[in-house]
Amino acid sequence: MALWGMVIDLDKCTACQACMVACKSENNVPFVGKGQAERGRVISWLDMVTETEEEYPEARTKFIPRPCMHCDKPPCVKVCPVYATYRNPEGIVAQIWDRCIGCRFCMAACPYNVKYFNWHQYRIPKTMERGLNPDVYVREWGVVEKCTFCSHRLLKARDRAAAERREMRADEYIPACVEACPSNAMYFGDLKDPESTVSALSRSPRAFHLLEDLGTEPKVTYLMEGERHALR
Amino acid sequence: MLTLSRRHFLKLFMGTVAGLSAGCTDFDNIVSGRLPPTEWENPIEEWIPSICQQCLGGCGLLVRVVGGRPVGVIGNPLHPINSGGICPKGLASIQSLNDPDRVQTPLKRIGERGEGKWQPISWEEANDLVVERLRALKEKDLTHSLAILAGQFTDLRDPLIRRFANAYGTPNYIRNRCFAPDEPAKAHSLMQGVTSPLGYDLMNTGLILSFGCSLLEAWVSPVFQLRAYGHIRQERRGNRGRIYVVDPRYSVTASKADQWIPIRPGTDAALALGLANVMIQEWIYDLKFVESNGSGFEDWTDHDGKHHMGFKTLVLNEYGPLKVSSITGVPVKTIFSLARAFASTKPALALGEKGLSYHPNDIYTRMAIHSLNGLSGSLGSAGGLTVQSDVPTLTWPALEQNEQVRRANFRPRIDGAGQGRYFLATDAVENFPQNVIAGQPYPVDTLFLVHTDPLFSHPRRENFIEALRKIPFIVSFSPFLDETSLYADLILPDHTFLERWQGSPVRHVSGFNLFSLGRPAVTPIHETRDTGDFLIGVAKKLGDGMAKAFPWKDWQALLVQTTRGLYDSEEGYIVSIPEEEAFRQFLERSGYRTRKEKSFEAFWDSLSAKGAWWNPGGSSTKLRDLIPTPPGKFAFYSRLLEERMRTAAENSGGMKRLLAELGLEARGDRLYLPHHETVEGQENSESSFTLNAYRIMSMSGVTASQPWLQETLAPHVKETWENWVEINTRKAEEMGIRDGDRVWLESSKGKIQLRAATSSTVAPDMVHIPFGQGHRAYGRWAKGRGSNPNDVIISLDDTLKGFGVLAGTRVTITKA
Repeated sequence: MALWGMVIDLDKCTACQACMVACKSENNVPFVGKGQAERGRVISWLDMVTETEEEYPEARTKFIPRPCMHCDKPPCVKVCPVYATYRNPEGIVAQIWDRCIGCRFCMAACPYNVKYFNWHQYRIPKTMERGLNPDVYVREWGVVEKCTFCSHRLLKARDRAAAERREMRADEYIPACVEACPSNAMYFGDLKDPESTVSALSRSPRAFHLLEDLGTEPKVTYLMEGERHALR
Repeated sequence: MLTLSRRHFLKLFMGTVAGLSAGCTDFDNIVSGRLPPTEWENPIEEWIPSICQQCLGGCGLLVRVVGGRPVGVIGNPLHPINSGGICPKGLASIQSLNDPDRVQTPLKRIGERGEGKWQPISWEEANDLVVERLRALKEKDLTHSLAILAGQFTDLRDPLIRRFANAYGTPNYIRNRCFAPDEPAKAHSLMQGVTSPLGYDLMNTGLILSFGCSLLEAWVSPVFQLRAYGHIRQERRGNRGRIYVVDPRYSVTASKADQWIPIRPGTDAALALGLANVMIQEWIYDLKFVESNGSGFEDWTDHDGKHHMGFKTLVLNEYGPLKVSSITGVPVKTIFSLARAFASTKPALALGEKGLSYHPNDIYTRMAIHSLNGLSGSLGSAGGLTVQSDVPTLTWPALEQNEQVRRANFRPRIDGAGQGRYFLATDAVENFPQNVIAGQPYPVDTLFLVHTDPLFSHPRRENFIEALRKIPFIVSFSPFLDETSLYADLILPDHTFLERWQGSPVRHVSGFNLFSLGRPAVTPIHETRDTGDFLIGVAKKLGDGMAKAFPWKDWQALLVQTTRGLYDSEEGYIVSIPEEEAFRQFLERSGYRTRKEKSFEAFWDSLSAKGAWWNPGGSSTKLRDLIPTPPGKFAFYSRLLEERMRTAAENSGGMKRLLAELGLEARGDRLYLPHHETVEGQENSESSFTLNAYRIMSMSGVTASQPWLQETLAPHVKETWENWVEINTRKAEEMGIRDGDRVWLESSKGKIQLRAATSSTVAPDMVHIPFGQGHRAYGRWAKGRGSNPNDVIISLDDTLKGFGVLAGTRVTITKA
């Protein structure tokens, strides 16, 4: 069985936010509107974390795209009282919307803030419902939602392979954000396969994880930016 | 309330059961819950190629259509521009298609102009109204009083509309855009004599020196640039490309660059010439290229024995690093090291086309930057500049014009482009409203608005409103009720781009020739009609010459005939998967002739399935194509500019008068050499800031109606649904302004309210505002969100380019 993981090369990432919008489009993530956004309730399974150091004219800003880390030891799973969020055998940290009671313990437990709560039933105009992705459910209010590594695409790819009576290849399954990335900064694949691109890259000397010392063992690996050639 | 049909209930129930049972066994079914509230009668999945029109980049899309409904968009993996990548704007195009506030039928105005009272009419009635109007003008021999104002799009519509104007008899086809991707940049045509745009070999370059070009946000072809960025950073083993960004603003591009070089706005020319100074002083420029292929570098004497100053003398005498440092605010040490880095890396590119803070000295700034490309000898080399050749599409029958039409076409244009002080401009939209108001050189009777919204996108809004009031009949082809359309008499809604046939020759930046074909991904949702179809229909109804000029049945027939040009040219290929492409190249290298499509029908089928044709070897790197100026030399001293300026001076009452009108301070030889012109501005004072309005990746004005983008505005400021003003943190503290406070921004023209975003990356004497918000119309998601910086920008005359200057306004800030 595969172990799915992602690598994001920060040296190639341009902070264009295509991954963010691709995710919203693929997963029927609602837009919450101005009033809710003011209260910090924008839902963005994949967010862009920004950090600025120093001051003009020496300023340095860093951008880090942040999906769910799909930890191998996920703190959110431990706190869920109803077993709505769990780590499946392929390493995907999933959430069953129907089972979620909206207690938000998992949101508090997640050190990466990747979980989002549906504070309302976000309705969209009838005309816009035509654009919803039929492969993904629309979440009800009172439910916590999160990145699923576009697991519906995994199910689809597996079904297709089964229908064609063959094994599924790892490259048949790719999340929407990775597919959209214009600068090819995101990689996705099977971490168990030592030959795969993600395995090779996660062994790179540039590789690091977010909040590594917490022991969550994230399956999203980042590659550091290259050395800057500052003018001397 | 949720209404549950039996079927719906069953589905829901089964979904839950599946979820539960899976939950008990192997947890395979990961997501469960409520189904999207739509019925899927015919769930056949198709992927249809289309072309993105959210900006002018020309990316290929694949639209995922399930049961006849577009439900998602990805980048077309075969498309040479984006090769599967896509930017946030492209992804949100689904929301533009499904916008609840689209114009659904043709509308006729019944209230006052701008009031927004409309009556739906039929397409036949609309057609008759337009035809009657145009016929009446034709009978009165007033065809030239039709003006067509068109915005930013890359499509065969441009030649179609041009042909419509030419056949009807009006010179007034005016493009409202600050940048023309299908024309060469002015500096390039003046220094090299090229008539096609230059391509940049970004993928293979070693160093990019960008003067304000926001490569990673909103330059010419965003996705292509992002791809190139990823490529030069990590995909070339051991050869990581370098990027230096000269910009008054700490842009995303600057933050990803090796170093950001902050500069005083409007002084880029001085810095470029300062770099040239160091390169010449230290003999580190490309001597061989400059000696054998440069002209006007050394001092020279003309046929009459008159002595002229060359580039070298000018640069050595007037742009020493110390002086340049005092003009630009860039430390002397940085000037030296930047010049050395630029000169010692080959190939290197200096980018200055578009994206500069459009100051009135624009043309000389761009010439100064381009002279660096000459000095580094990057013309024609791998990783340097190439010239794009034409896409062999326009195989339309020659236009026959009778005497009346020809006479009308030779009348002066309303906007005065190409004449007098606008002698270099192909369009002078900034001058359009004044001339319409004054009725100069003649009154406008009918105005067509094609994909343009000057009341939002141009800083001279007040003038435009007054001008629109003067025009008796206005037709808008906008699919949305935008600001300008509110002043129209007729709105004839076009399809949105996912609903229509598109054909788009692209020849900018990338360095290869490309023709994209887009198929309609969905049958039009509303009673809209393709503007191409409408214009062809009108032409047919107008009869004689017009009908003959448009022999096609409709827009699609025109596309078919146009692509025949590609087939007949026997050049290039329809895009294919990398393996096929590699095999084809292997065969060709081995001397085989590769198989092409046997018939045009097969060619068309293949093209409309794959979405693009390209000619990878279509751009020339030969110096004689790159520099077709008469002596075949890169002109540091632009004789072309001299010629055109002299002609313009003769026609408009002498050089003195022309120079006064242009507001240039240089005289003599300097006028034709790259040089720095000081920008006039209000005096610096403690309380005022220089306003710099810029573009972000996700907002291009037309995308403001797409909620996903409204909630994903920019990576560096966490604001949603409205724009903001970036202020230096310390400066803000001094004024008692905290992050998130509302502030008034006031110039001598007006004032707007915005939210303050304090940042330590902002220069203390500047403020930055992103464009794209502040719509007064344009549907529920865009209207009334944020403020439009155009409302405070004092647009100085931009005589050499004709759009209007957007930079340099001084503003004061007070807490609201």
